[in-house]
Amino acid sequence: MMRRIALLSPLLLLSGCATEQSIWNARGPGAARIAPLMWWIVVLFLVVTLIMWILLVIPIRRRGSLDEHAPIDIGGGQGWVALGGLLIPLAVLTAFFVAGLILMERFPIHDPNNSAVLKPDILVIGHQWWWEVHYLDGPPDQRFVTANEIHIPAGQAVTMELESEDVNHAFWVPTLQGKIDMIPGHPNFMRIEANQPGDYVGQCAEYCGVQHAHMRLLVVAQSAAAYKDWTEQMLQPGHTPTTPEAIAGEQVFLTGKCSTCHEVRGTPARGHVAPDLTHIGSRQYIGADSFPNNTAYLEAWVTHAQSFKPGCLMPNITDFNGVQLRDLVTYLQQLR
Amino acid sequence: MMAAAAPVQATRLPRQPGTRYPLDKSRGEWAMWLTIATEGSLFVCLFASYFYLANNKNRWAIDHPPKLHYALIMLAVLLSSSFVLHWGESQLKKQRYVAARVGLGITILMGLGFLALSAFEYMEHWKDLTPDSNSYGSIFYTIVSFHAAHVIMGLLMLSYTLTLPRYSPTSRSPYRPYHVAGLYWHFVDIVWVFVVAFLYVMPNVRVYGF
Amino acid sequence: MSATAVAQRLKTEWETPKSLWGKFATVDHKEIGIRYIVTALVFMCIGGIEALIVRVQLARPDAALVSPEVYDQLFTMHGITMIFWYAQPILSGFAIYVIPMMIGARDMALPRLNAFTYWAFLLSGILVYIAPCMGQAPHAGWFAYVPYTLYQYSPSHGMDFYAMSLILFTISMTGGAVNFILTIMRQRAPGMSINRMPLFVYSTFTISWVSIFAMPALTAACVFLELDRRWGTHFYTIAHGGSAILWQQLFWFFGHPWVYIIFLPATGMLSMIIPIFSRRPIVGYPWVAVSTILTGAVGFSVWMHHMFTVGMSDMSMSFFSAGSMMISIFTTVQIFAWVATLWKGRLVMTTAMHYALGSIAVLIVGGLNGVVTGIIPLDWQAHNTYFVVSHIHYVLIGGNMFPVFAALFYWFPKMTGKMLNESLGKWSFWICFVGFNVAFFPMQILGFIGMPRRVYTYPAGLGWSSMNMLETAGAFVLGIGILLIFINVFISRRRGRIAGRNPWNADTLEWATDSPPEAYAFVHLPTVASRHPLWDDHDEEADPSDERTLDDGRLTLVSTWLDAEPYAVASMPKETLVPLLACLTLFGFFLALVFQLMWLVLGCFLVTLSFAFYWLWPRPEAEEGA
Ligand code: HEA
Ligand code: HEA
Ligand code: HEC
Ligand code: CUA
Ligand SMILES: [Cu+2]
Repeated sequence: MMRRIALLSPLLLLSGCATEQSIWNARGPGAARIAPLMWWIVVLFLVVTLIMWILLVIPIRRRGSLDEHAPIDIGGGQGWVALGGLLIPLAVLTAFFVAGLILMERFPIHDPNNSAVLKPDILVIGHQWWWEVHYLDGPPDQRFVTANEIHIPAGQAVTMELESEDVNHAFWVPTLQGKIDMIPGHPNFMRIEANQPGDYVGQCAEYCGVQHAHMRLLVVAQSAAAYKDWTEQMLQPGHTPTTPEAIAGEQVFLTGKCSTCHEVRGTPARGHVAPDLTHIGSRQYIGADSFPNNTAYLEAWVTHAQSFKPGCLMPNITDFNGVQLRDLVTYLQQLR
Repeated sequence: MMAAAAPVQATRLPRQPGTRYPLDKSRGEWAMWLTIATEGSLFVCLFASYFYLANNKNRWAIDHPPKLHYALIMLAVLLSSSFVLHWGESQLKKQRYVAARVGLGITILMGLGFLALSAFEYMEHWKDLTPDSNSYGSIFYTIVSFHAAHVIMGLLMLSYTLTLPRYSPTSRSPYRPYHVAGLYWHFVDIVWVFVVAFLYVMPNVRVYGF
Repeated sequence: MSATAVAQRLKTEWETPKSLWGKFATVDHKEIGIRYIVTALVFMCIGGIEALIVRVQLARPDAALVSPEVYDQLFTMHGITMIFWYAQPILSGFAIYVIPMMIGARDMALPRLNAFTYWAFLLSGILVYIAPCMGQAPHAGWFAYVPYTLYQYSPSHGMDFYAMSLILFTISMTGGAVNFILTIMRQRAPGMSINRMPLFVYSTFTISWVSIFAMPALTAACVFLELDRRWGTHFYTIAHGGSAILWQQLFWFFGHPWVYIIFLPATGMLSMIIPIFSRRPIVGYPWVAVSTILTGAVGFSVWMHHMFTVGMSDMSMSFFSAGSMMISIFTTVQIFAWVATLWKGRLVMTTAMHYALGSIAVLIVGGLNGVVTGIIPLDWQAHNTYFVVSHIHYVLIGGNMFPVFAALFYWFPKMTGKMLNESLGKWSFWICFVGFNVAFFPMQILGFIGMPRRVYTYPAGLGWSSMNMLETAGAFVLGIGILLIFINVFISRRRGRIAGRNPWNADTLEWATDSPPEAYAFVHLPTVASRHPLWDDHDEEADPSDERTLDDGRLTLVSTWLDAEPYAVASMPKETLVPLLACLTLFGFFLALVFQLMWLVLGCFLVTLSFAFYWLWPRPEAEEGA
């Protein structure tokens, strides 16, 4: 039993490597520095466990009986305690402690006291249960706001400031970097970098209420050129609808409740309590990266957000007919 | 082979009780010391929270440090009450029970005086700070009120001791109520020293210098 | 006087009347200890069933067995039930039952306080379970981080119940700690100097001191929380200068010592059981005693390892990481003392020994996981994932639940006079052990592959599904194993083999009493001349001139704290309803506070106070203790 688990576990670990949200699947220097140390300590500790379990099992063969016992002044065994209990663990633990310190020093996760040296490129603000993202790079007219999907240039370290508007959250993209909490009144900083272009998923990692489970996260790393195109696109106001359906949809959006909470830049919709929708059509997911962004899900989300994310702060909105809903979704989808 | 129950020289045989031992009278005192330890730890937590919140950069605005006059008078009252109580206890040891009772009575009166003073102090303080103005107000009033509650508990213990029928040596519990209640009262006094130092004197020193 | 006449006198002096009144008024530590154990086991079943519902919900991705609100309440209630109302009280229960006898005393130092702390424990548990009955259970996890727990985000009464019941629980804990310290420091048998104290006594003594200093932080945190929630203060509200991290500091300053509070006495149990079934004295007694004390002491300087991701200075993180490494050493010392005892002994593989060995095996894995999270950058990945869930269950079950089961098999004969069935016991062990590992080992891998804790569901595509299913299956197997233990208890209590005084041929004083012990435990209070009173040739009860019968009143010996030289005789109180009544009004006090019924609060407070006065009032008819 015990041995089987010990033998099996590295295999299980390996099988986990390939998954999208695994710390072994390191795709950025942060995670890539942690993974080997983690790997070493896990393997070593599996070996230690195995040795210890064997040490526990061997003496079972030496049986005694309840009728007799050793003399009470019998000594011995001190060496075990001194060597196994004190010296070996002391050496092993000191080694790992130092390795941890060295790693930490080279590791760009910071508290507010270090903010002086860090000028954030991106400000991420946690909300129950979505992410507000401010791009702070460059002069004021180069800044913009988006939500839930964070784009970064690949191969380039980006500094993020992490805050929260309401309760505690934590920013965690396991394949890129360790996590750090987002605590109201306590801004934290993190340097994040992806080696290659690609999509990196993550998750809010501090319990923040009923929809903590659906507070997912997507970081998209792009080549320098693609990233530049993306920022250009993001700087544009919401796309002006051209097709009649989309024009009708815009009317639904603006006259309905949507605009009280959501913003679409360039339109009168200037709500600030919900994700910015200026470029919602370009995002891969909705509901804080929890559901695919396609027609079916969008229609369902608008009318039944509460079925997808029970308790989330967007109500079910059912006061329009089927045509209006289709128009609305068409409008949202062309907001690219 | 292991020997079964090998004989072993007992290193030191315990003293055999020859005569009956006296009845134990110190259980209450021990328990009181432990109560004081845990209560002291509670106040340490409160003071730690006070300093932690004070560190909370630029949010902690004590515009007017608390005025000292009441706090210092209260300190004088409380400290002297401890001396009175101590005197009362020394009378008790000399078996002057009436004097002991008088000492206890005066201590209680002084404690009541302390509470009256703290009511005035509250009223004055309340004008520009309430518990819901900001975190400073919250922790300030919480510490002061926790202390006041301890004073009230101490007074209740002392009054209870005052109403006990007799102080002569007794084999009945509570064996040494005077002493035990006194311990608590001294503890409450010492806490006030820290309250005055941390909550009253230090902010004034910070703002006005020495 | 003949021996039987003395016994008869002692019996009339000590025995609780077998009436309804007697049931509620008893101050007998044996009765109270068993109540603690039974109540804690009931809470464990409740918490376990909550865990099973959690597991069923998590068995498959995107499942909807329970709503997210209910899920949050379930894992929160599971956590607090297990941590507060099972894990510590069960250890207290065993300690209250055996320690007075183990040190040769006739009761705890403060028997009425003992009854009071039991009722406070029970009623605080009832208080917190009123909340789910009202549909407003606590729902913010067992450490209830602000700001989520502030009124703005959690307007239901759930968190009020949490705060109030924990304060009542704290009162119970502190009272218990005072009682243990007094008992252990003052009532050891003549000759049981500090270096002859059984290790279980050491561990209980240590955690009592830890409780004295750690519990107030929880009280302060909960008081602040309640004031913020209902009385408009700003300890934790950022907009008015409060700090969200203050809660974390206070909570973990209490919380980390707490995990050792629920761990050390269990190691003490192992240090009793393993030598007995290795048929030799433990190897390195002073090492173990010292590491126990140091674990308690250093336990106060590691709390921030729960906060490695909040963003602190490198300096403070390094300090707390070093503390975590240091404290691990003390546990490895203990573990190697046990292993050496096994190697130097001749084993008797009873069920208790099975559980003891199983718990070491499990504890090693959990402890090593703790070391992983103790290394700062590694914790940045592991924190708040199922890796931590795995850590806590490996240490809590290896360091609390399995030792408790071992202790149950070990001391059950003393408590009931009957042996538990050994073969059923061994079956239960293997089922528990296999079920446990199947349930909790995959969680480590899940943590590595990114599954965060406290999620009510998860998407299918991330490779988590099959392991979650496996865990659920394992949890049910573990549940069945535990069920077998209960069945064993129920059957053996009636039909078990008669145990006799000392069925294990063990070395400590509780085995010198009858099984089950008489209310007065010893006719002649024993004296002690070595660490193994029943294995040496010193006859502890030899007392030819009846000097240590102390049969004219409820009396026990008081001795000095270091050398255990007797110097006085303590008289013990009789049965009384006052602890129960005082506790009921205190319960009313906290319940009224939850709903802010201030007149009721005041009323309950005054009544409690009058009970306290009555409690302490000198009674002319009998000589009574506190
Ligand atoms: C019984 C309870 C118990 C015990 C004993 C421990 C023991 C330890 N714990 Fe654990 N811990 C908890 C209960 C416990 N813990 C709980 C409940 C939480 C979670 C709270 C929550 O978030 O809900 C927690 C969380 C927790 C964290 C925070 C994780 C996070 O949230 O990110 C950390 C971080 O350092 C930690 C560390 C440790 C360490 C270093 C030990 C050490 O004491 C372990 C020492 C033991 C050993 C080292 C094993 C012995 C091994 C051998 C003998 C083999 C030889 C050894 C070597 C060669 C090294 N624990
Ligand atoms: C001593 C403490 C203790 C114990 C013993 C347990 C025991 C168990 N725990 Fe618990 N657990 C915690 C302390 C403990 N836990 C804590 C502190 C948390 C963190 C909470 C938080 O995040 O705030 C936690 C969290 C936690 C989670 C994570 C929830 C989440 O983050 O979303 C899970 C999930 O699997 C879990 C499962 C289990 C299971 C299956 C058991 C099993 O071992 C239970 C076994 C017991 C029984 C099954 C009941 C007894 C048996 C019967 C009544 C017989 C009937 C049953 C059958 C026939 C099957 N626990
Ligand atoms: C009361 C406020 C409110 C109103 C009104 C509202 N929403 Fe929302 N909406 C939210 C919130 C809050 C979220 C974030 C939910 C979450 O993910 O937890 C959201 C999320 C969304 C998203 C997903 C965004 C993303 O990036 O994940 C879309 C699309 C959306 N809303 C469309 C609409 C439309 C269309 C309407 C009007 C018919 C509307 N909303 C009305 C509050 C509102
Ligand atoms: Cu946000 Cu969890
Ligand atoms: Cu800890």
